[in-house]
Amino acid sequence: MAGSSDKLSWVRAVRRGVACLDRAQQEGHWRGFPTLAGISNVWVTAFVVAHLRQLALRISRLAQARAYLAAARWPGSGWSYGGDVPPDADSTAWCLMALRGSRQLPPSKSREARDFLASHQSEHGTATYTEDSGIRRYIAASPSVSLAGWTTHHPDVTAAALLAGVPSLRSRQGLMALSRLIAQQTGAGFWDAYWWRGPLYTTTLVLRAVGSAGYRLPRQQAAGLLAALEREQLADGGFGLGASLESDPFTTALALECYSHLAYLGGKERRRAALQALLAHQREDGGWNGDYVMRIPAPDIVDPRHVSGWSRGTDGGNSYVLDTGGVFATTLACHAVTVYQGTAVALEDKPELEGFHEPIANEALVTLNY
Amino acid sequence: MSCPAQTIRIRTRCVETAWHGGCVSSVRTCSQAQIDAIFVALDGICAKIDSCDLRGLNDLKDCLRNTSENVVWKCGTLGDSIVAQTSGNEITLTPSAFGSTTSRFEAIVFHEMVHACGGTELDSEAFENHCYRGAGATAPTSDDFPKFRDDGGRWVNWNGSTGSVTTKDGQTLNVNTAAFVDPSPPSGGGGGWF
Repeated sequence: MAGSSDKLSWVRAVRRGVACLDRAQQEGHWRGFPTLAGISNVWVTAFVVAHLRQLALRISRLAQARAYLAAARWPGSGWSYGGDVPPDADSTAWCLMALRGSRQLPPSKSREARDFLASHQSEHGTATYTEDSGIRRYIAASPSVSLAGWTTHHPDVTAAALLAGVPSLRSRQGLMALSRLIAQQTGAGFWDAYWWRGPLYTTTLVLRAVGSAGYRLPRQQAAGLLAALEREQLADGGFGLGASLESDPFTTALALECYSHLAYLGGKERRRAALQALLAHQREDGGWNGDYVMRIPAPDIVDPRHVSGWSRGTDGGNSYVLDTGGVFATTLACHAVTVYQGTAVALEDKPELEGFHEPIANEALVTLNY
Repeated sequence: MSCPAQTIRIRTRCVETAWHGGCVSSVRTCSQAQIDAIFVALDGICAKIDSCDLRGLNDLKDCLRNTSENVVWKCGTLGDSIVAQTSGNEITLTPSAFGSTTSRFEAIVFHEMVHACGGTELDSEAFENHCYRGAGATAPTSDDFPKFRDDGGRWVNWNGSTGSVTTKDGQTLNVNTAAFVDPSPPSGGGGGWF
């Protein structure tokens, strides 16, 4: 049992983290992840607000950020990474989550954004861009350059779209989409990502989506994930980025949240160790350090595993992008500690999600007798 | 789960479309000889899963046993000198792969099946060299090491200085450590949007 002093330290850690984010906000928005397209303001702000809207961020800060996001929407469409970059599905999903229930986004405009997001979807999932999104013109790619990577479905974006309610997780269509996403769990126990290094970002979002739908993961898949988390946990309780054997706050926060969603399966000691590792990495100013956690595959790359080498800090195709100032690491750490605190009441008596599989068209397979 | 697989799934391609765009006739991307070669490889891999020391790796072994049926096999060409490639649950095998010796082909298929199970390049190279050392495995190439450094392994840890590869719970894999010593420091620079 956690003592009251433990709980107090968790609350303090979150407050300090939120205060750090509070100080980092400038002119109603947060900035981070510098790329050749500039540093993100819209997408980063949406991500922070979507996570912290239930925490102790100053109400005025939240209102400013929401007003900023509402004004940043492309007319008749959705939101973008920031600046002049054309709107995309992932930014739109996070903005819809950030503005959920806000009067800053009237129903008619919300509907336009949801329609825009839905236009990126197929039976396989949600793509980040469409061919007619304007991204080809933006990156000055000739017609011969393939955009197959950026315009195919991405599990990380699919999960974000489901959390944004496109399609609704209360609908059969939404549950089918979620079921297909769940089926993409790898034999290693995780869900891979397109835009992120390591699988824990997508994995966390899948767990959130399953919980939002009112379900648990099927037991076998939940057990596989728990075993995978235990396998990859470092000696200090944290989780590393890539081959590193040093704890990374972003990765550890995501793993802690995964552990918390799976608390009904046990793993209490491991979960607690992840929490302690995360708290141990909190900076003096209350934030957590960011690393090169995001990646930008070149637009033709469908499977990032096939990239032979990634650069750091050059910010273009096939590069890793830095979470500057640790904005995402701090956001996720605050969120994860909060979710951890709520694990005692989490996931009680929820049914396991199963059954909604349907054959997918355009996959003509033959079974041969040996 | 059946290992060796009694059935496999082969990617087909459409060769005739109707006026409404639907496919009315399709053919397998793999010839019967290629399908036979895949079955032979899967037969050997099932035996290898049992005989190769993979203690504590039950999730990987279960996945490999399942993968033989769940993978979609595609036969076709790939760019440059790539002999095989995995995207999701689809494994593409090239004529060059089929032209390899029987033991090399089995090791190639095994390597790709580890990928299909969610393994990184480090995982695939490590288990290929552990289970097929001197019997079809090839050493990592210079292209592999940046991936080792960036992605690590889902099931293994790697010490680039010594070339030692261990499972996450500390079991040392029987790889040729000299072949796994990191030949160069991490690279940087270069690159544009694409």
